[in-house]
Amino acid sequence: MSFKKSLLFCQCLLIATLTSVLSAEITKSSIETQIIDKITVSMFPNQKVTVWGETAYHKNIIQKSTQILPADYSTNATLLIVSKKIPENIASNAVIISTEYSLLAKDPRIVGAFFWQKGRPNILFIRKRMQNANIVLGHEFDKYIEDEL
Amino acid sequence: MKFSLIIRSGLLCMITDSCMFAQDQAKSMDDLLSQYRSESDLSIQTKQESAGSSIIFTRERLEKMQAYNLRDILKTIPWFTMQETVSGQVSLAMSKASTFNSQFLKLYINDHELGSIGFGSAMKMWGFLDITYIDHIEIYQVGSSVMTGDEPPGLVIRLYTKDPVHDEGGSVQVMGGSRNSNELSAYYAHKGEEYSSFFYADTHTENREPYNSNRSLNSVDRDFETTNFFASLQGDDFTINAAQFSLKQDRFLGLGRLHTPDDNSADMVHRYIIGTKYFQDKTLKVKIAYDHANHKQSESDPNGIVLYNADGSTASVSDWYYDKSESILEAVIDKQLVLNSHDIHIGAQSKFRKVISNSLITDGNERVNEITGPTEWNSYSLFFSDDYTINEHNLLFTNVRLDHYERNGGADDFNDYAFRAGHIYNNGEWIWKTSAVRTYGYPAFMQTAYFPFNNKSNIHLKPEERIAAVTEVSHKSDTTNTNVRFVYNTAINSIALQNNAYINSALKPNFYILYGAHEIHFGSNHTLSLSAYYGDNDMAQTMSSKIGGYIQLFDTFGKFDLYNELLYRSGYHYLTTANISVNVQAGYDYTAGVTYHATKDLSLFFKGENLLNKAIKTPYPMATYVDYVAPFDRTVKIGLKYVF
Repeated sequence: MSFKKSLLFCQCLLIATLTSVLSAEITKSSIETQIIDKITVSMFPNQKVTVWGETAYHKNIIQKSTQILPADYSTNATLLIVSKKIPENIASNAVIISTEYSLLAKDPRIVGAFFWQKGRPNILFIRKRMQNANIVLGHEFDKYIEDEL
Repeated sequence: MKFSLIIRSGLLCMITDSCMFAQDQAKSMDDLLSQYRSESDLSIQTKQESAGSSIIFTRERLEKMQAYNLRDILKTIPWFTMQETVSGQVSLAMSKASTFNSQFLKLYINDHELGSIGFGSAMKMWGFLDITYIDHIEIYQVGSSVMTGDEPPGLVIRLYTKDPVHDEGGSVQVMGGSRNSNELSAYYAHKGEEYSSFFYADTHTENREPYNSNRSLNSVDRDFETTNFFASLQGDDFTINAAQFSLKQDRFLGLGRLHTPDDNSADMVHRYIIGTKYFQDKTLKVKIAYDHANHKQSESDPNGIVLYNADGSTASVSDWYYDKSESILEAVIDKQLVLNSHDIHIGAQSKFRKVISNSLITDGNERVNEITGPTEWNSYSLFFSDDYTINEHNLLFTNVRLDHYERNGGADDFNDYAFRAGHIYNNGEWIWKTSAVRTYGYPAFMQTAYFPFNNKSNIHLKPEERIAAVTEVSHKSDTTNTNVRFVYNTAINSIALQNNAYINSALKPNFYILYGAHEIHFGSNHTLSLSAYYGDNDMAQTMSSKIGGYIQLFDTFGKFDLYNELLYRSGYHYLTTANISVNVQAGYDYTAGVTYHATKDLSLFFKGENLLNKAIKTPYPMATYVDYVAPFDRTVKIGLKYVF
């Protein structure tokens, strides 16, 4: 009897292996890059914008992207990603996002952030700051936009 | 047969159910965030491939399993069966063997071993640990890297607390369950520019089904209450951890001759503080830790508790009370050298362990002065490890550890060593690991020192030598993980109980285990996980399950997370030395849970454990009878969690 029961597990393994062949593939790439790409494409549809990152972590995300162009200097970037502070020399119409919630809370020039909090990654944009920066995001982002912090 | 058909039908339904959702692959921002969370799991950072054959419980997995207590994890470990001792400690029995020698089970929280020189392992009390503050768990089944730990291990369980960088904010969780059981836990994490901190508190009361035998009118209780406090402070180059875990429990059947306790209880607390400082670009680590524990245990049995006297004779008492403290002071220095293709760790460790017996009373008589034998285990160790990357796909690893122990109280000092070597082939899709380890386990206080107890100690016990080898092949695709392992291990001079006396056994058992696991992800919302093992040895008796496995199904439907788990352990039969027949029926432990995410911050959950009430039972054989009790009752729990 116990042998028969143990066979159940073997049968299960076989069925599971067969069904796994049918299941769909998940593409391999940097998820952070895909998230930043999705934000950038929504902010600047039909444009391939230049993006500057403050840290090596940001630069790595930008370099993996096929949707955006890396900017060597903050002065000629359309979009800036920061986590510590906003550089002094930036274009007047540059849009700034952060990977730190505390910086989003502290500096009103930052329109939104992609950050870890409460054990999960979060995306948050501030409506008024987006309006001031003339930024519009697609409807998919409605749930990530709030009136205030 | 009818039952097996039900199981078979259930399996097919579960698989079919998952297939229906296999094509759900739309990459919305929610999907990307969910995938990012999975791929950022801290277990990816802490898992060391060369450390051993492992099973990882990621944070996402623990949350979906609704694993609130370490016992929820221990019961699933392949080729082990979770049991409870007569005194209520959590223990593990390796496939076919009797209860696992506890010295070979090592429990770590954030790289700190929770030891007990009195009992020999953390399972004295930490088996009942609440794990709401734990981010992820790594289990190494055939020993891990000898340099990563403090003492040479066999089964290594490593718990990692939540990280304030990922968990900034707070959480409150409240839970109620069967028989008025309840649990309240909360944590708060702060991420600063220079320092981050994490604070956690938990209080848990678990009321369990009392056990009734025909030998006594009194029910035997096995309830437990825990409180847990944990705090951490970390900067760029240092971490400080401090904790206090308390356990009050009924000592279940106890030490009594007929297992008819009137009132058995234990009141225990373990506190520790650890400071770790990093130098030289984090390649030099210095750690200092201090642990202090107090164990108060009392038993009362009107039919008598038979205790050994110092001269080897026995006497029966009705009441037994023992109050002892333990302290461990530890210092470690670990230097990492990266030389061409070699990742080398070299270091030293000192550990000063001490047992202080405060009081031992039998039938009102203070007998603490009778206690003799070693009370100090001081060790001085050197360790070396090298991960040598031969080329892109191949790695060789070597670990060596030399230990010198000094004991007092007439016990001999001794030297011993652990050695481990292996090879890993990894091409990203296929991994083939092979390793062999020689290690040892030294006898603990309760096995070596004399104190009035129901087992006879032996000051001349030698360390037990263990040799193990494992080879495993893993395959990983975007949607599947498959793992097959073959394990061999043996013990020389194994420390065993024979007629209630500790001895070094002359027998040399050879254990063989075949293990397979397969996991399939049907999109990001559905996962099926299967695991099965067969274990055997060349000993005459089958004293625990030889075959086991589980089926786990994780589903997400909108705001609902569903979890189903069926855990199987085969039945077995053996005769005791008193010719008593022990007959344990096969166990089917079905657990199911549902979590409703009402908002991003508020979750409601419901969980049922051992719903079939057929979980494998632990046998407690005595001279003329056997008690059979499952470590898990049929239980339901309901609760909510709010993060802010």
